[in-house]
Amino acid sequence: MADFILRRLLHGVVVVFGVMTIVFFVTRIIGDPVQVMLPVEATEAQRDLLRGQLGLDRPILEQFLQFAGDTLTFNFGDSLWQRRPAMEIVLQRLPMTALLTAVGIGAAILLSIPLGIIAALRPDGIVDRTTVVASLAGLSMPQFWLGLLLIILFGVKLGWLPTSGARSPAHIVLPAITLALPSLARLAMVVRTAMIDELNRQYIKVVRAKGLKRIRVVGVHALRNASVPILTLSGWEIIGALAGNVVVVESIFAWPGLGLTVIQSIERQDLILLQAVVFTVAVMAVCINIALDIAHRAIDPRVSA
Amino acid sequence: MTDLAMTGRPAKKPSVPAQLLRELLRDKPAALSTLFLLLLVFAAIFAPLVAPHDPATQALRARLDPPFWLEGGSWSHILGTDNLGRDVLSRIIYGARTSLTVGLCVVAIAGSFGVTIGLVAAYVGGRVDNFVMSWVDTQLSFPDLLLALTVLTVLGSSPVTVVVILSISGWMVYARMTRGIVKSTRNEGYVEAAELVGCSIPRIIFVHILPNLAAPLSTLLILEFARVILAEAALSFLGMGIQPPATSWGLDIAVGKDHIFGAWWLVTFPGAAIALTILSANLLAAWVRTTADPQEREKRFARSAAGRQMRERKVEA
Amino acid sequence: MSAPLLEIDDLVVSFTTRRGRIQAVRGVTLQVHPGETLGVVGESGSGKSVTMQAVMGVVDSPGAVESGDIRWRGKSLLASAVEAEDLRGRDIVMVFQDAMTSLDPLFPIGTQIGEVLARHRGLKGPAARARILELLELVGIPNAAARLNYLPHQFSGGMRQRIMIAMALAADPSLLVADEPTTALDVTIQAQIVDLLIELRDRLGLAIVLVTHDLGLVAELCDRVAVMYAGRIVEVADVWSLFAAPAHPYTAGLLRATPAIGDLPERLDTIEGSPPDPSDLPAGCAFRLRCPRADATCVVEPPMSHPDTGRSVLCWHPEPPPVTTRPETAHV
Repeated sequence: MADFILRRLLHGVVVVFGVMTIVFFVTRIIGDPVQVMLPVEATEAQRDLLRGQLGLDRPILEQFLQFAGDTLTFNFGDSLWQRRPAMEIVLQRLPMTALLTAVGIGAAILLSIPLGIIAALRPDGIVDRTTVVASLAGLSMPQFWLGLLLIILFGVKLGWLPTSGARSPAHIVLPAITLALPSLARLAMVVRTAMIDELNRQYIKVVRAKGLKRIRVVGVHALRNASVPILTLSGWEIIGALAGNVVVVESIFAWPGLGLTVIQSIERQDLILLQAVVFTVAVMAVCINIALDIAHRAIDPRVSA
Repeated sequence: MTDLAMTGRPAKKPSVPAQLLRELLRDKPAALSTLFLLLLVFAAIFAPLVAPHDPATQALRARLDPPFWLEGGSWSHILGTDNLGRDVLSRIIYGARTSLTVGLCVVAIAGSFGVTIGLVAAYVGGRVDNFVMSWVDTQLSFPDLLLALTVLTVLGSSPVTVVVILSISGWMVYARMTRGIVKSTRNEGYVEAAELVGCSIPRIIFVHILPNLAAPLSTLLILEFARVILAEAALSFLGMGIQPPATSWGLDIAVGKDHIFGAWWLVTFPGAAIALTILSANLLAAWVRTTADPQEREKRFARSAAGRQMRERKVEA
Repeated sequence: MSAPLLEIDDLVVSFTTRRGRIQAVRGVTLQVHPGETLGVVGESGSGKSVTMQAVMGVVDSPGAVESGDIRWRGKSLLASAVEAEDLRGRDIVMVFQDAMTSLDPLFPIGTQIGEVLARHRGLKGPAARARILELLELVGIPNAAARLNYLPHQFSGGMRQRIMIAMALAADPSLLVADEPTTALDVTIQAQIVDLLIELRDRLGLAIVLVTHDLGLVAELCDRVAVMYAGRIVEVADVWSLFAAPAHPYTAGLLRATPAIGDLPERLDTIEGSPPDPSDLPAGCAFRLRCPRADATCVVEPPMSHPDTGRSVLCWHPEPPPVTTRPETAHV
């Protein structure tokens, strides 16, 4: 087990390193960060000054080593926009994103499991058909459009809920729903399919013939067998939220988390801050993947052989 | 022992397209989806003829006009106008050009690249295979929107960069699927037989293996097409995709967002265009999967356990 | 004869499909008495497995019992689902066809047997463990104590079928339904499982219903045989009479199509034609289109007749018994 975790960690380091190499490659070699970061009217002297500050005048290999070292020590330098360490800003914003993701994706996971199970118990029944149709609709709506429709409905027309910022608990409702709905649609479909597959297997018939209570047949035997794909997708939804969907959702609802930070640093051409965010998200994605692998082994003891 | 399973089914074989069309018409949602997508393609190609207005023509007097059925709306702008007085319907029709073009380009590039890589990985095997697959897994384990945004920030966004980036982030699924199918069909008896009698590798690939790919690949292409359209819309919405003066559904929604408190139609209609397109693609993909793939078809059929019980028609005694 | 354990009374099981309702079991009546071994034979799709699945309450999902009754010691299993659930796995148990897929792959075998003990006997902890070990020893799993925590995939097919049998026996049942218990196994293993069943029956006084298409197995194990065709029982007889003198033409055809050991003819007889489409059965006797003895009478559904004691036949023109010279007439 320890050996396995170590191997996964190593792989995780490779992933993070790969992501950061791509960022380095794109920013330093294909693009010119100074061009991006300074306004068009900046003088050549100003440009040279920034180049010197960022170490861009040194050989590319040296730059890369410097960059790799900075990455290892979580030191990405000062944000151009806020003039303070980028990592500090990221860590300050991270809890809000974690909260939004936990509430949104958490709700999606918790709702999708009973919904998918009930649908699977009676394929082609009313709950099942409704779930399938609603999921399809949920999958087809662009997330940002969904968020805006919710604003129009609950913010503008009905005036029930706040649509911008994070000043009260009510502020999380709309962004969380927006984040949750597409995930809920995908998860419910996967729970449903996995449960239908398992409930049709021979061992379920055997378990039922043993006279076990239905709740144990479905909730213990079928659900545990179905939980590997469910778990995988749940993890994937969390990563997907952190590494993309929160950008959209937070920008719509002005939710002050990492996603909004991404938009702000893009608007201010703050590549340093952007790098710090990408790095943080990559690390989180790797950690979640490792947690998933461990959970997978706990559910299915056959894997560890 | 007598195997009499053959006698039950009469063999009827009308031409393949006619048969497909008949099956499509039987599935109402899929038929409607196809119709919608065809109309969309038609509107996109003939946009100058179909659209009531030029999408870029501003009319300062007719700014933020509502759709025709609301007070202040007019038949000249059926779905209303935006903050610069541009016709919403015309912009949606021209926006379809962008979405469909980006979608098709990305699917074509990522699809052909991914399928090729998958074929190579499956055929060469060994280290190449291992390397390709761990590359695919690595790239799949980190979602790309954030990376795409970073790259676009540096490179600047244009239709070309958007297509390139979405292609780079989308080829892996094709590679993985192709490799899986090729690897499993290579072990089938008839392919081994073809190899034994000395068929050339290209012949084996094109005649014996690729046909197995057709059904799952067309399903995947349609689903990926939908995914790409969503991604392009999201990038454009965030201001990192298609840039004005070009039109794009995502871009129009971003404009509408600033007027969300007064002019809901600016957000609603382009978004509905995206949602309908994606929904149609999803429904069509589901239909293709169940219809073109004999296994899935069998599954659909076998959903009724009676069918399963009854089809085992072997005289076993 | 003593009071039957299990009575199946005019049971109809149907499947609702998009092509309409299909009856897989069309009025089956059958009794199982304490300690006897009853064989139920027929082709796939004849309804023999579905009948037994109905007894166990595990008919596949679009299927359901349409009418008729199933009684356990006189009490209807269909009337109260809760009571039936208490009986299943305790008094009536089933061993299924495919041992490889019959165990939950994620739970240790000890746990899966323990579930039955906890559910039906309230046994937990060391007492349950002792009973599990006893059961595994009974079915011949060597070194059972060390293997309680093994997962199903760590056992061979034959071993898994033994575990299934141990699990079935856990709560001291009176009736074991074995649905083609040996089909998925190697021939040598098949013989071992059959021997085990015989041994257990003799030792525990079990009644067994053996669902199979293997007439050899029936001859070896069974006291009585019921032959099913197209959802009906077409003949019931004790095993000696049935093999000596099959009365239903279908039974006769089955026997002719089965090679006797040491007497392999150059060509085996087959039954002409194919089993009827259950959604489109011929009117009257379902076998008439394949039956050498069929005539115009057979368009009308035949009644159960009793040409001699202990035998029932569903046929207008049963085969004549070979020894006697009884005239070939219909017995109504």
